[in-house]
Amino acid sequence: MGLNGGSQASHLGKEMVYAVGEFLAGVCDCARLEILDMRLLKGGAVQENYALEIEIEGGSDHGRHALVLRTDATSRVQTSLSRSEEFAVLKAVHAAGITVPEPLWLCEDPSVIGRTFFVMRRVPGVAAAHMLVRDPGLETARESLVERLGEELARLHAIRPGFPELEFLPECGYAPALNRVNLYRRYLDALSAPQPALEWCLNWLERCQPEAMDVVLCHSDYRTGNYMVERGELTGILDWEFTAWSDFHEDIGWFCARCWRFGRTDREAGGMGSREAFYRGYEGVSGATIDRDAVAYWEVMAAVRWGVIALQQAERHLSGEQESLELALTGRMVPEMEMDALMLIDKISGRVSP
Amino acid sequence: MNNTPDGVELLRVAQKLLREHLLSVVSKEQRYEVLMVANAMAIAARELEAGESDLREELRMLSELYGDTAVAEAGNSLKEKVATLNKRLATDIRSGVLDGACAQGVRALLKAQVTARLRLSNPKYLKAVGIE
Repeated sequence: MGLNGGSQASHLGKEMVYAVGEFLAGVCDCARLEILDMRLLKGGAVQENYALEIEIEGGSDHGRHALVLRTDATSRVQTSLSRSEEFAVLKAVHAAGITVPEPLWLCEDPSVIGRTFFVMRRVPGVAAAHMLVRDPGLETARESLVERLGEELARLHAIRPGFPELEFLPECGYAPALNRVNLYRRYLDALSAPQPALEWCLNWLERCQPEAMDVVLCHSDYRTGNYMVERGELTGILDWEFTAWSDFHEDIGWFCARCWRFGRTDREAGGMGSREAFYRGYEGVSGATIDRDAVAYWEVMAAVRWGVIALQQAERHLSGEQESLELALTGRMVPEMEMDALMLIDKISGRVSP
Repeated sequence: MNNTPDGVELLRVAQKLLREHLLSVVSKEQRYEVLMVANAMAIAARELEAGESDLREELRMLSELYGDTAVAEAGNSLKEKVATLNKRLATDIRSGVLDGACAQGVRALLKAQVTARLRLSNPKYLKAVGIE
């Protein structure tokens, strides 16, 4: 077994690159393994993702491999799944045929790089929402793309509680909506400024919960920005750290919510395509009928959830934990989510009695 | 004191410099940062221009709900009074004590508060949803 740190990766710290190389050489079937490149990818506040380029000689993995190493950022927020849990989720959904980067190896030994990490195959494409909603090259592909995203979501939702490899996920009980309301109230309690509009929306969400629906495996952050597209085709669904058991309408409402359309509010499915195409894909695979009123309810929940998260992000700036103009400006987006929620509640109240 | 040009004017011309001259010469990643800086300056300029008028209007609406005595006891400065009464409002909404006769008034107050904040943070949003 030979090992080489590679010169391009040197700015990361030779020790880390060497440790990762040694770990990979141990888990791969190979005579020799070389790390050609390793660099930090942009955009992870809670996780760090490294693009990894390796060359393997001999064995069944012979050849070059483009990989991603995912680990906790140093300022870890303890509200989502651990990396080991996320790896287990990725394995389960990959085995279920959902389009995700193939999970390869998990390292829980803290002596390697100091934190748990896993390695997955790198998928090609673009995830940046602002680019995807504006790309004129995608015009003819949008409807089939959102239909495909509906199909993928239905495949994910076929995974039900009791799945043996996912026993670590907290049980959801019969009131997923109420669980969320209680959680967001706890989040608001931890913040300093009072939020009367969000409180009012949470009361409405408590009062108007939809009837008990099927509880399924939800991605819980299924939206434009969290999937990769290459030449009009879906190449991978990313960011599984919020996966949880919940009402299947929650993922549908989150995907379609106005706040995740990135300025293209006319395209109701994630700023990318029509709601009809997304629903068609979902219903075609699941055989279930989407309850349109339940989705509208979960879109109110989506606006409230994003509002609460935006407050938490602003708090990270305000508390001095992480000085950042981006986090500070996120705090000024909160009234958009509040107005989204208030207007949608008006619309729903005109249609169904509250 | 006559300090001219005033803060609003300084922020306006600084933003113009950012958007019209600096934006085109920076890298793609810095473009996003320049736009964030310009946006922050625009929000600050609108706030400066509005002065205390929003706070006074907010206090007027809160006093309709809670009465003049509550306003008088809510603190010394305008800012403090609005903060105290908003804390009470948030608590009262969650506990449900405002659900009865004043529910409509509370709803109107909340919508007015959110609209006022949007006028400062993102007036384009209000136009896009047809409120203003």
